[in-house]
Amino acid sequence: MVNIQTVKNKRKSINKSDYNNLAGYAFISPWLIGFIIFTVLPMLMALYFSFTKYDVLSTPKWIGLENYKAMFTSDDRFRLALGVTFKYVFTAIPLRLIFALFVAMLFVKNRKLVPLYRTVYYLPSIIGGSVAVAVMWRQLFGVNGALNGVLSSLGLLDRQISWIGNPNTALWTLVLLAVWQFGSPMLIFLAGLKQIPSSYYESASIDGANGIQQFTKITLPMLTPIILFNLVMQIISGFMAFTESYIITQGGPFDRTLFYALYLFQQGFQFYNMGYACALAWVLLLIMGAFTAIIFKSSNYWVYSESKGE
Amino acid sequence: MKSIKMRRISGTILYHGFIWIFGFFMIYPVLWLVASSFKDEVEIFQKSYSLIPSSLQFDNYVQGWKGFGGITFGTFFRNSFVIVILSTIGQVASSALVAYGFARIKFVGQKVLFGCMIVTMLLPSQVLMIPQYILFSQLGWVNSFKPLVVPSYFGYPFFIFLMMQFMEGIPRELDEAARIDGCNQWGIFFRILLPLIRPAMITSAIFSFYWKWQDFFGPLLYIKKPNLYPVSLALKMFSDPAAVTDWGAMFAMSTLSLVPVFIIFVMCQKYIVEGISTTGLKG
Amino acid sequence: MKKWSALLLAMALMISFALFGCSNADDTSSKDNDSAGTGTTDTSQSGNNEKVTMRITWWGSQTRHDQTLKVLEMFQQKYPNITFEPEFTAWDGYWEKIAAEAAAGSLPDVWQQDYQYISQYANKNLLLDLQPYVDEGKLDLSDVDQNSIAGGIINDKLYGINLGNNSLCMIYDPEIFKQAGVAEPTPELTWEDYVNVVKTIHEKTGLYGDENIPGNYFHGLNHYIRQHGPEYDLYSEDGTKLGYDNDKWFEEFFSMELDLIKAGAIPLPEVRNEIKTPEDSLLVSKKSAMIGAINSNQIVATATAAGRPLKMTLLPKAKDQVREGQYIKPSMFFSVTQYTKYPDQAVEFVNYFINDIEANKVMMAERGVPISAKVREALKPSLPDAQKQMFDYVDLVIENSSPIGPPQPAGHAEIDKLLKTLEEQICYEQITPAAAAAKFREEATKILSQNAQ
Repeated sequence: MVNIQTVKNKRKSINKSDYNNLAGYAFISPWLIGFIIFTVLPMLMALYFSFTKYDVLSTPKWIGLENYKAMFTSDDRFRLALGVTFKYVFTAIPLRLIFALFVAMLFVKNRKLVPLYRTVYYLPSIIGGSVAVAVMWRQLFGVNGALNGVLSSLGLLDRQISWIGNPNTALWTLVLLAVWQFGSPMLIFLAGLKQIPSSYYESASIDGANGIQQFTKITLPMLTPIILFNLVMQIISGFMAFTESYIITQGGPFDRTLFYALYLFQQGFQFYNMGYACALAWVLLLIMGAFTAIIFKSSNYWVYSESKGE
Repeated sequence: MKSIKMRRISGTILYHGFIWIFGFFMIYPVLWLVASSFKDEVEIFQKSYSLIPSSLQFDNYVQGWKGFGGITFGTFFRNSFVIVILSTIGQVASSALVAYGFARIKFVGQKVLFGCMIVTMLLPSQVLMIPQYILFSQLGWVNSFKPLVVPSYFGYPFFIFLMMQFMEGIPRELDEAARIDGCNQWGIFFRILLPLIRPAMITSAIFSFYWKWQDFFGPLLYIKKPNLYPVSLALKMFSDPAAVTDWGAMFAMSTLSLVPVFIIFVMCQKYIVEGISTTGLKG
Repeated sequence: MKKWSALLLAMALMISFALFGCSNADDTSSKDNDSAGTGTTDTSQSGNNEKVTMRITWWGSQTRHDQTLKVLEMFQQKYPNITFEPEFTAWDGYWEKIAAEAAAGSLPDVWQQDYQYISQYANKNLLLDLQPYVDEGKLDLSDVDQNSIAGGIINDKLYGINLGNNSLCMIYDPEIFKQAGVAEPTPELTWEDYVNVVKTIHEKTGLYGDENIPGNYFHGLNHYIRQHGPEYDLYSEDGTKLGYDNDKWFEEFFSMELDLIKAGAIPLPEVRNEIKTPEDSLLVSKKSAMIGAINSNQIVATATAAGRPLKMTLLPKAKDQVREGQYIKPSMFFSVTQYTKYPDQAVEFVNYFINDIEANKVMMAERGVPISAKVREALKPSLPDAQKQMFDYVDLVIENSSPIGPPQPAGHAEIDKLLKTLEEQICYEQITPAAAAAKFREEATKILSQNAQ
């Protein structure tokens, strides 16, 4: 009797996990199919190219680890690009996230005018990487730009400088551009803030919690899944930043704004060293993979999950 | 009592004042772009940072709309809308499905596949351009919207991950309750979770629309015939390093190209913020 | 922890997959080459009257798009059996598009080619040798002098037909010279004269004497080097090493630039790097008396942008010069893809494009001075002022030039970037001209030898 019972139980549980496997794969099937068709093959080709000398115009030639070796032993620009990118990621991304969260907090309540404010603060993010943005940034930070106009009328400028072209300031104008376009993380924070049930705040104010306590005890913990998301995605996008330097500075002056992705693009499409570009890409993948892994690993300690009920 | 009221009023003034001043810096470049689209050629460069054009010139719009080689911006806009609307629907719908699968169902290989998905976001797109081009050209899809639209129906990792994170915030007891009521997985997804992640879906839709709208390299590679060009590609054609650029026309069409993205945002943002708080969910 | 290990596992998985992937990638490319091969054998049989559809690509501005489309229309009226599918874009992105098409084996039949890239594509056997067609008389170059053809010849084969003659020039504003009390430059201007002129203008007017060192970092240096040796050029004949043996010229040239920058007579790189289109030019906005580095066909755009009369002159000569540094350069080419299905029709079109007088009257030398003498004569009476200046200038260059050097080798783009970086570092005094010369030689030699393998 006892035996039969356990067997039955077992069968039931197998059935349930079968059902779950089936349902799980059914739900993720769109991605899985697309992944296999559109992503895996190109990624593997890129990996294969990274072990070859491939000039795009003729058949790749297998050279083993030569590309990787060259990168770490004799490529100054690789090191430079890495340095520029790290500088950019570690300044622009935290600033952008803090700013996005702060502004989202300001705009979360449906006060009068707030919908207008949200639009105004989001607008810079939709002009994105268009030609207009390059011209505009030049109009602001160029030799004849608005900033110089203001500074010289205040008598603070002894020499006409181009903020986007000067070796000491060029990178920082790009950082500023990134911070200025904080719209997308702001929007995600906003959606996340709105998802926090208002009943939590109601019961907290009944208990006499003040604003700061509510923020640290309710808002922040409830928002952690979204913070995790924004942190991971923004770091990735920071490492892959390309458009800004491609359209505004082209990496100059003397490689002071040479983002990693721009260097990779130059190698692949301008110098026709696609094999080398692919090797650069895979190294970047490993670097970002390490960052992402560390963040995910640490997330167990700081990300709050409603669904961790098990 | 009075002082509390005073404090609240001055707080409100401070709040709005701060937002206005800062907002001006945020929006100045955008206003500059719009103002420039109404200026004539001389004024664009000579009074570059003034925000008020000396007279409203619609010539730039008329001139710009004519487009290139007999193809007007009407065609470019139509192409953009077709590409963008089809892909946005595909990306949001397929991503929601996949996100549910990853976030709520336990199945063999789940973690590995999730890891794979994250890894796909880590490879710079520049090195995928050539392999993907070869792939799509073998499929015979080049010179059509297919390479730009079809992949959208297979989920987009950014949105999948985003929606998963929103599902994290929804208590599992809801799933259990629905299961007891006789819902299967599809029912739980469609009736319970989908309405609750609406803010995330709207956010995704806004991003998807905008990203596809401004995508340049995709159309550049895959679309050959100028009468299939989207706006993003057409805008680049105004400026050539070796020729005189019609700046006024370029700014006019750039401004016009922002309008749909702007409208989508204005229309959608109220759904984001209405979001879940009105559904009366109890934690 | 689990997610972390999942990530690692995923990567391991992908890497192991990769080992199978290799053969796959190989397949694709060899298939492309196959189809390329069969494409050519097919072609010779295709008759002249069959209906054909061909792809043609170019980059350019709105004017060029409109004019070229008009010419295509005229051509199709004359040859109703040939239909063109035109694809036109801006310069931005053009080469990425071409590279992707080359990788997939789907280059357009006829496409606009640039001097910087032609040898890259020619050396990979992607371009059709047009010499046989010239010999057969299908491509008529009888009104074209050798100077105008030379730029398209690589390894004794003709891979591109020059669409317009160009040469570097200096454009100046005679009004500013008058204000400064400086005589306008003559063709006999030397580098010493140039330095004096630029400095004097700066002292007298407070403007910049020049926007840029003549010829800019790359062509300027090349020009200077060419003047100092009968065989000198930046690249050697076979493109595997540098074409000059004394770093003295490099040092002299950039020391001169640094000196002018220090004197304030020419601007820092940060100022000139902002110049992206003719309207941005400092000459146009009356902040500089000259543009020292510009191609002659750009006089048209510059004069339009400036809206006042400007003049053109040759780059400075060297006092002790061995030969002229100036040369005639193709502004751009049409190349025919090696594996096109319709080489005869493609050549027919190129032939029409360079020789037909009506077609050239539509284009009005927008791509530079036409190479056919007959076409030039036909255009002359109706030329607007700026175009006329350009024609006269190219004639002047022919009298004061030496033959064009070897084509820019694979690796040129990287070397150009290297030189730009070094030049900017010199201007900001991050490196001395002497050290930069040595570094340039070392790195450029490395790049060239890697590409030669």
